[in-house]
Amino acid sequence: MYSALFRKLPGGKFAKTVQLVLLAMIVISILFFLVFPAVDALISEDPSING
Amino acid sequence: MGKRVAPLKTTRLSILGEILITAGMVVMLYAVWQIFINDPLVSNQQEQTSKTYVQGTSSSVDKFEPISKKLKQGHVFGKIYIPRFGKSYERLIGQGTFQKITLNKIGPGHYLSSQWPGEEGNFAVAAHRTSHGAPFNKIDTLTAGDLVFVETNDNWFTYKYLQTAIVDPSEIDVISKVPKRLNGAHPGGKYMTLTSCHPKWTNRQRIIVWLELIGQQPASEGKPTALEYLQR
Repeated sequence: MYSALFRKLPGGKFAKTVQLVLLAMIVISILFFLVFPAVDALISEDPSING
Repeated sequence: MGKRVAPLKTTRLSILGEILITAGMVVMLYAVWQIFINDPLVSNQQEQTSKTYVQGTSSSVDKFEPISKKLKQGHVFGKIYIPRFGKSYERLIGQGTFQKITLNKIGPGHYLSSQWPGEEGNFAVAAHRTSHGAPFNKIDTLTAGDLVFVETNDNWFTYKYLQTAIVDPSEIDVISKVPKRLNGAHPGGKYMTLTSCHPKWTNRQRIIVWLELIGQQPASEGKPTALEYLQR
């Protein structure tokens, strides 16, 4: 999956690496600012004392 | 010239492996987000929100809800000051201990079954030890001589540290009117109980801190002298 993605990216090895890093940063940003806050709000409710 | 290595063949198994590794990384990233991003962010947010609440009835600022049996979950009725956690430490206290409504957003939450501040019995408050601002992260540092202050619309209450205990989650008597396991607890006493999870990052046990009311003064007299260092 990842190797196939690496092969499909344009440019040389350095350019591909930069693009992968950028892609990873975009994915992490989406996770940190959209997905995780939404997941956190959905996590099941425990009415007892919790950590 | 070196031999060129042929690219690995993509199989269903290799795709499944990569998906599982990716899922593992997402879970680890969630932990990183929770500890290093969300926690400090929420903690700061809770402290800043707390500073906007004041006693009184002016409608131009956030104010505490009057204490009443009809108070809905998540409504803020007071503020807690714990100098042992830091000189600027103050957090709002919301009604109820449901996570989504109170503990994850406001911070400390008042057990619905327990008494109100200053009342005969036990005023019990829960908060996260880790995550969601971790208001009681340093609960284990409370020790003899420490004071905890509670501010409501009408009064200031001063509680003095009595004892710490580690109990099982099922031991709910620790927040009863006469707290179980508190040495010397007697009917008619005015106690406060702080509860959180123990050890940190787990909810295997509970850490319990008991305090006793040693002072109460009307809001009109201003804050207790021990809190004079606060800028407001």
